[in-house]
Amino acid sequence: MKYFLTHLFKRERTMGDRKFGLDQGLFLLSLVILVVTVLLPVLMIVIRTFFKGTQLDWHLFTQVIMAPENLSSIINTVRIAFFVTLFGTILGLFYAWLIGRSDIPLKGVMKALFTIPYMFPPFFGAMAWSLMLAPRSGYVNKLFMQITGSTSPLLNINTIGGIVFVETCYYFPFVFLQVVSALERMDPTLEESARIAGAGQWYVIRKITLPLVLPAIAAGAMLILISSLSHFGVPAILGFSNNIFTLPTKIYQLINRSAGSFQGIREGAALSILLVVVVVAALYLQRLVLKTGHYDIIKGKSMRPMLIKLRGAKIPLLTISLLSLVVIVVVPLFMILIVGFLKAYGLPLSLKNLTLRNYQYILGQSKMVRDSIVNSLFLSVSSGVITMFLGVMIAYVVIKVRPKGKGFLEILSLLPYSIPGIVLAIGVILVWSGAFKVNLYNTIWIILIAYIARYVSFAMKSASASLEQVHYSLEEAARSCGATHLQSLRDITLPLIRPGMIAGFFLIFLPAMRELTTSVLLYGPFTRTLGVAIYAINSEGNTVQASALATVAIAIIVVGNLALRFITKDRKGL
Amino acid sequence: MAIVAMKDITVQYGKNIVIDSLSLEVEQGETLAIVGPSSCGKTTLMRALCGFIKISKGTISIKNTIVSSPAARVMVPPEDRRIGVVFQDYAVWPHLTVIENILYPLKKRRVEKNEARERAYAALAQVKMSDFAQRLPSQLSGGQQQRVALARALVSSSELIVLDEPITNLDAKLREEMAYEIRNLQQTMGVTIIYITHDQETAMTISDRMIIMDKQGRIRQLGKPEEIWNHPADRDVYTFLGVSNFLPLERDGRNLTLIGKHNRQGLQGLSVPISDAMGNNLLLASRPMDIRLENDREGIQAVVKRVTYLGNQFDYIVEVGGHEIRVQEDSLEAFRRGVPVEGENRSIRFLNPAIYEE
Repeated sequence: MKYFLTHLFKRERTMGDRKFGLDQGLFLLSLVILVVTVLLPVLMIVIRTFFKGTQLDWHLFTQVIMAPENLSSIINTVRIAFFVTLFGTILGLFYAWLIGRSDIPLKGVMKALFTIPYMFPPFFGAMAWSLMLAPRSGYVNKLFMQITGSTSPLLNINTIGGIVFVETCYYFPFVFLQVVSALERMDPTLEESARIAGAGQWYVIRKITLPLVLPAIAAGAMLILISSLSHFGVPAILGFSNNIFTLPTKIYQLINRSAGSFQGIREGAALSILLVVVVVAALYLQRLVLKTGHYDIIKGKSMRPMLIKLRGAKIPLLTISLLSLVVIVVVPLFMILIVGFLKAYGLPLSLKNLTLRNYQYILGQSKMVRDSIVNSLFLSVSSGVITMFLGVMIAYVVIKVRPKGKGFLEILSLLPYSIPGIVLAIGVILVWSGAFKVNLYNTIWIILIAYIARYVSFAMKSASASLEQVHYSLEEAARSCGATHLQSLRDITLPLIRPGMIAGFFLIFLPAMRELTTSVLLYGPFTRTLGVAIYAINSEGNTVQASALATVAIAIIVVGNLALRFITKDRKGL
Repeated sequence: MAIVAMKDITVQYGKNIVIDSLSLEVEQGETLAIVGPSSCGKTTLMRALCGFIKISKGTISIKNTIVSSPAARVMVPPEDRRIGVVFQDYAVWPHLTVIENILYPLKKRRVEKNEARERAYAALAQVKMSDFAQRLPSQLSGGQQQRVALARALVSSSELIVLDEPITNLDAKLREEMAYEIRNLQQTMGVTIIYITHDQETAMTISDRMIIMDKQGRIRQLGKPEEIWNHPADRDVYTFLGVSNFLPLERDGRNLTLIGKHNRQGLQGLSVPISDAMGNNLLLASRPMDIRLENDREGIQAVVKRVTYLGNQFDYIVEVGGHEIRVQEDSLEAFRRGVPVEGENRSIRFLNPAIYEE
């Protein structure tokens, strides 16, 4: 370790001659924070799984893997992820092609609708679809049984198929957005020259367009795959009642059932390792796919492509896509909104059954709910601010200081990308519940630490993007004008990346506000978050209050998104 | 008195040596141009002088004070070196207005407020940008940003300014104008200027002395522009300065013979300085404008292969002993003496040739 450190500082120093300057300080600080918040939890999971005291112990791991219930949850996880990826990719491609290459009208409206699933947590969707398609109580099923007199429901959302459907609705924009931007940046002459050479429309799509956007498709599909593999909310809400478990929900159940006992956490850790292995395998697959397909034909500048005329198919296609968008996006939101005003779940959706009582209860009477809103606001703002500054610091070290060991720093900061939230939560429990003389379990601080670890990758990426715009000569110009290193950072670099920092803050604040996966394992009696509160009220069966609270969360998220849009649009306001 | 003195400085990135034991002095009040092909280490030299990078050997002193010396463990930070710098990309801060940009160095040097304003506006007037004081850099053209950068450098240091490839991004007309203005500023204010460029033409127009560097980061020649132009130290400097023709020669005592691909021609009438130290295989170097096409049958025989009219001059490709060389002639002169036709036999005369060892 000592050798490592002394070598770290034998780099070319660019400014100043002090043995330990500002740059070295920033580097060391970033390294320490990342090791503690990111690396340590991962290491602890491995250690706790494979070691009993100091003794190597494979027994637990094999025992956990071989347990039939765990095996079935592995199969479920992979099966769900596979189908979500398949359907999400097809759906995303279809819309991307329609919007990027056809002359379909109302493109602006459709594009705006597509960004909505991005904003809301998928478990809101699971709640909404549960309201409509739960086998006995769902409104659509009840309507169906009334009309037809049938005793069996139309559709059952509490199935693997239901989980696949809801996750697909929320994850297909990954492929859609990637492919649309690739299509927009593709040189249209490539397609036009094929048409001139006599190729038919379908032939061009198959042989020219599709191969060119393949890397974008692969990237989007892998995002879906990884998100679905580590997803907790939807299978938790739709699967529990029917005993359908995935790896993340199984881990949650193990920890929850053991009520914090050490054996339960160890078993959870062992399952976590399995989940990480699956995700890493998927990431490796992505690397392979992306490596083979690299085309420079897709340029940075945007061009006006030749649009394909849909002619007679225009109206049917428009109807289909608008209708499916309404079903995917608008209907769930509307259901949550309306049920939030309902006197009791199950009553017909008519005006006389509406009330404001749910809001009175959750915002006025329930201390738990009020606490959860305050907690989530506190956690989102503080983790947003802290993580954003941390991201700026790491990005600065990686991009501008460039010490030896910057690669290690970069890997550490991007590691949380590939660690599922639930796994991170277990690691954080293992580190911060007394293993190192600090016990934060059941306090809000343990959640804060988990959020910081979870979102540091976002912050680092967003800060890197804006720091790369600041050419090093701007800082050097300040130095030669008589500013010290610290002054040049304060006067020049920070003001220039301020818009990026504010955007970065919202990129953390918004997902943190609705966070469920990590907080559901970390919350204590007084530290519920908004996501946890909604989830808990919903599982207790207080559907109307859960919907009302979800509506409140939606309102907060919408306001946050508007603020973000306002800030990123108006870049002049430095 | 030398305002900047570099002694045996070496700069390396890891194992890659960019500048190897280079020494140079810059005199007070002069404009020194450092010229060389791209990636020859001239920007590295500037960065070492400004204190942005460390040197691994040697010393740099400014006004007799050592600012960089690894042996003496001295590394004065950039902010204490008092050098005005104009960067290649201008580095005008985009979030500050023009006047704020220029006030910044004065603020950092703790100049009293009213005096600072006065000096900033004076500098702005000097670069003819007074009307743009409240603009943001994004509202200025490249040439205007350039002027702001220059004004900022001027208030930052009234003694020593370093310009790194400052006007290469401008179009030809603006380039000429800026070069003239830089020259003007230097003469009226007496500031010392180090001008770094790969463009030897601009360097010649504005510098008192120039340094030619090569790709290995060594100084090939140092001197006044006209000295360097008239007497390039070696073949590489000769090539670097402009379009060049080289013809192989063989020497026998004082007698020179042009070696053609098929024949050999004696060069009796040619007067060139040859030192006895030179070997026997030589090159005759000449510029296209310094070659005359004659109508007589004596002298070196040549065939005109191609004639191109460029407006103010004619450009010929001429074959001499199987070697093709380029010749240029002023248009008026050519019309007066008769424009050659392609395939015509002429003889050629070298006006200002130089001889280098092969």
